[in-house]
Order: sequence, then structure tokens, then C-alpha cells
Amino acid sequence: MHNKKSLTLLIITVLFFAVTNLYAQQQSVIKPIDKSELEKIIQQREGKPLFVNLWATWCVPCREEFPALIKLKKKYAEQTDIIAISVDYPDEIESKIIPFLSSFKINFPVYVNSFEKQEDLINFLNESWFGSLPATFIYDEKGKQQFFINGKEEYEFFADKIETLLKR
Amino acid sequence: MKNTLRSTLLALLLTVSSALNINAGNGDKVENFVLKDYNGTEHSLSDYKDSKAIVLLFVATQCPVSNAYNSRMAALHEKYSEKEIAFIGINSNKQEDAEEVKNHAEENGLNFPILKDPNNIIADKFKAQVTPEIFVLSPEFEILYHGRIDDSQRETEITSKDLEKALEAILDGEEIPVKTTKAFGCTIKRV
Repeated sequence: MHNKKSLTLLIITVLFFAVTNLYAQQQSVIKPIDKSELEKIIQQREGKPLFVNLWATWCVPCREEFPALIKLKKKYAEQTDIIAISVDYPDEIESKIIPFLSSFKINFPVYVNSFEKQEDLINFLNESWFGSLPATFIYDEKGKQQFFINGKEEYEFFADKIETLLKR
Repeated sequence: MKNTLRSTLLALLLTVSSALNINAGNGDKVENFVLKDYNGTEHSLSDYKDSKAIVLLFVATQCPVSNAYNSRMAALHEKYSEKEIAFIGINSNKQEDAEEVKNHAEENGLNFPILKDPNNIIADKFKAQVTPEIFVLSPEFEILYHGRIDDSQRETEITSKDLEKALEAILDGEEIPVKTTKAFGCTIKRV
């Protein structure tokens, strides 16, 4: 009887730590990103292209595009860096971003916009962009932006762009 | 002969450069166009040339950001239509038909004309990308202001009412302080 109780308590304790650890892992991938951090990521290429996807939980085509990003990362894991930047509010990480992401096995860093003004992020990424989501910016291995993709695209379209950069 | 050639080349250069970018406040003009509203009535941009300014609003029924601005658009229309500023909505989204646009306008108190832009022809002419996206035109169709309504989806966090500032400047006969602004929104769903 005593052994049964101890075993039950042990199982509950293990489950508790497993769940909180998972939650902490989800929390830890949602980092704020400002201009200097994004500049650093773009410049520190180490010979790999960078795929930057801008999205928001309120953006339906963005949500529909997410599985393609995960598939891209699986295919190009060692050859290309992929990051996603949510333009939801930072105070929506727990209420909106994490619940959405929890339905996927996210295999790349996800950030939340913490540029001072939304216009600063928009113009930093591309001055011809007017803030429509989803948007994707692909940089080559030298950190130079080669593709600006405005709107939702399929996996094959993105893969084709990455392949173009990898073949150079 | 030399002068004619030079003039022709200059005209061609100006045409090409204006086709590449539509910029506010540097004299860029748009052409007249005709579209139908959700009741099937035709509206020509030139119908509004007696207004002090024309506010074109690229909007959507299904975009959460455009919808976050419904009450603000309705309020701005109410305030500035009394001051002879025309408001015209344009819906260029392929999946939002006239009936949907009409129901949405009625449900949300959007009492200005909202025109359907089949095949996003007018959105393409303006190079409009996002909803909501605003173009304020002079009566001569010069683009005076281009961009957002204000700087926050959350009404309690607005720090800059950019469209309102532009309209007040126009009414006061003054220079618009910031002619181009940007904000996140939904892509226009083109064909």
C-alpha cells in the first residue's frame, strides 16, 4: 500500500517536471528580437543562406505556411538557417504564440518583434515592403538579401529559392 | 530635331520612373478609374474631384487588422465627410465577393462607398500591398499621403494618428508632416 502510494507520487512528480520542462522549452524559443540582434543574425552567416519569415498569429496564410517552414528546415537543416519573427505583441507570447506553436514540432528559432516601431522592422528588412504578411526574406551566404517574397508560398517555391542560393 | 528627341527621352524616362514607384508627396499622380460598389453602381474617381481630398482605403472583410480599424474608419469618415473629404473603400481580395463586402459594411457601420476591384487591377495600379492601406489624393489625383491610419492596432496604444494628421494639414493648407508611413497588415489576396 505504502509502495503503491510512493510510486504514484513518483509518477506524478516525474510527469509534472516533464510538462513544465516542455513548457519552459517552448517559452525559451520565443525570444524578443531587436535591430542589433537581427543584424547580427543576418551578418553571421558562416557560409549558409538565411531564411527569415515574418508572420503573426492573426494572419491565416501565415499559419498555413508554417508546416512548409518546418519541412524546409528538415530538408536543409545543415545548409540553411531559418528563423521566424512574429509581429504579435510581446505580451501575447503566452496567450497566442505558444498555443499556436504547440501544435507543431518547431525546429528553428522563433522570435517576437521588439523593434521600437513596426515601421523600423519593415524598413530594415526591405524598403519596398509595406508590412503585408506573410513575408519572407532570403539572404545569401554573405548576408545579402537576394529574395523578398510578399505573400504566402508553398514549400516547393521556397525550396527552389534556397536551392538557387546553394548552387551558387 | 535634337530638342524633340531630348523631350521624348525625358518623357519616356519620367514615365518609366513613375511606373517603378508610386510615392507620396513628390507629385506622383494616378489616373481616373471606374469601379462598381457592392450594389453594382459605378463610381468614377472623377466623381469626387470637387472634394477637398479623396481618401482611398484598401480594405478587407476577413483581415483581422483591417477589421481592427473598422470603427476608426467609420469615425474618420463621419468626421471628415462633413469637411468635404471623400472616403472610398476598395476591396481587391479575390475571395471576398460583393455580397460579403456589403454585409460586412452594414454590420460594421462603414457608410462610405466600397468598390470591388475585380482582378486587383486598381490595387496593381497603386501597387497596394496590404490591408488596410490608405492613399490620400488631391482633387487632381496627386498622391499626398500613403500608408497607415495610425501606428497601433490597439486603440489604447496609438501614439501617432497619421491619416488624421494628413487630413488636418490638407484642410489647413499646410504641408503634410509625414507623407509615407507603414504598418503590418494582411496581404491583398490577388488573382
